[in-house]
Amino acid sequence: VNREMHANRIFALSVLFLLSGSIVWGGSREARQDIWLVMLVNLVLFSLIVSFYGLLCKRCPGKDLFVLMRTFLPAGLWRMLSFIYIVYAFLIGAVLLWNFGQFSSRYVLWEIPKHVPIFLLVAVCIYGAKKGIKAVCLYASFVFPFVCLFLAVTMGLSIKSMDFGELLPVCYDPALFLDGAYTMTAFPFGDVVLLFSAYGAVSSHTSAYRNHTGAVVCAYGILLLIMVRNAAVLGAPLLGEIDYATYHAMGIIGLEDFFKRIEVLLTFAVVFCDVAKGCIVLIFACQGIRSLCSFSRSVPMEIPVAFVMAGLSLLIFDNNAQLDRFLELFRYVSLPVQLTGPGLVLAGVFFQKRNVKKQKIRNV
Amino acid sequence: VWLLSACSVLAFLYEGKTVWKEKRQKTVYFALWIAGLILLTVGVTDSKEVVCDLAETILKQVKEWRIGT
Repeated sequence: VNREMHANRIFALSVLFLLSGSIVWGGSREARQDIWLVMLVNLVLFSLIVSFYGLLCKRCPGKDLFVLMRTFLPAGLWRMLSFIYIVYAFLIGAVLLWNFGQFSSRYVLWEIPKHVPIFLLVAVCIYGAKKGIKAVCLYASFVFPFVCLFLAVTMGLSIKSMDFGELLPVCYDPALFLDGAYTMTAFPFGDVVLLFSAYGAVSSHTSAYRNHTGAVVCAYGILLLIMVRNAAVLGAPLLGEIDYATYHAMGIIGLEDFFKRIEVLLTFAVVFCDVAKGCIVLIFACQGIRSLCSFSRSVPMEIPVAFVMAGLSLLIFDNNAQLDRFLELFRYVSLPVQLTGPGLVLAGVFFQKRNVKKQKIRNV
Repeated sequence: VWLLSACSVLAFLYEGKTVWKEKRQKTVYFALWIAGLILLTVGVTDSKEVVCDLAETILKQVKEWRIGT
């Protein structure tokens, strides 16, 4: 019973992780009204990638990516790959913190500089990462129903403002459509590899595989609905121009004089999702540094690592245009990073298995 | 900023105490701490340009010194 519950908590954590950022950002801007088509293309692509990750979880249950790389790859290669994954985690963390700070200072806490929400998020993530993956899973399973409820309420209230004619014409510009499809593989779904830090904690391999695939499909479903709603409410031209499309789409909702700022529900959902993702990114980066520098588990890495992430988030970007430029480059890095490490590990697993078989035959 | 600085220093002292006795782990651990604190200070005080100018001046001085020797 405990094992199943644990797997369910991982499921909630994975969905929150994948929703983080995208629920407010609204996905690729290039695709405009074809965003739903882009999402379906990405669903097929990521089902394949996640099946591939699931195979790895099934073969080597209870191990994180860094332990797997250390076990199955040559020393030079695993060190280099570990370093790349640590840098990748730092960049993802910086983007997450900056996005959260920018959203908070622009729409929620107008007169407060963005450093304050960033440090509050950092403090919560440090606490979560110090408590460990099981505590983060517990937190995720507790807040997941609330996030679903908030999103369902706002979705239901938007129905009146939707115009599905805005989703036509389908595939109006194939080049932009393909560009949008590729962008979506990098952001928001380019971080799926970081979930290995959570799946390393699952003891049952079958549930890890099932939950990993289920979580991706569930997150895709939720994001698909949100993005279709955004396109139907805002219209294609506006969707291609503005940041934080979901927030603007919700701004249109008005419930007479009773409750005018329904966006507050989105803000809660964003905070819940960002805390989950921040904890995972921090745990992943700490696991990487511990593995690379051969630190014991008792060495407290969370605070300095979180400080480096927060410092990078404040230094790398000055505005949303710089973030866009960064993501332009980042999308070419994201897909190879997601496939290289796990792919090489899987090859190493099969190679080792074949060698063991050969050895047995020789012995006989 | 002052509250953050005070919290950082306290955390540094509290957590650094546990690693201080470890000979091999100490260098990387404290390097990470120092990097984090420097990045955070530069980010919070918004002094990216000041640091870049300082680095440029130091590099120029080093270059001149090397040419001189």
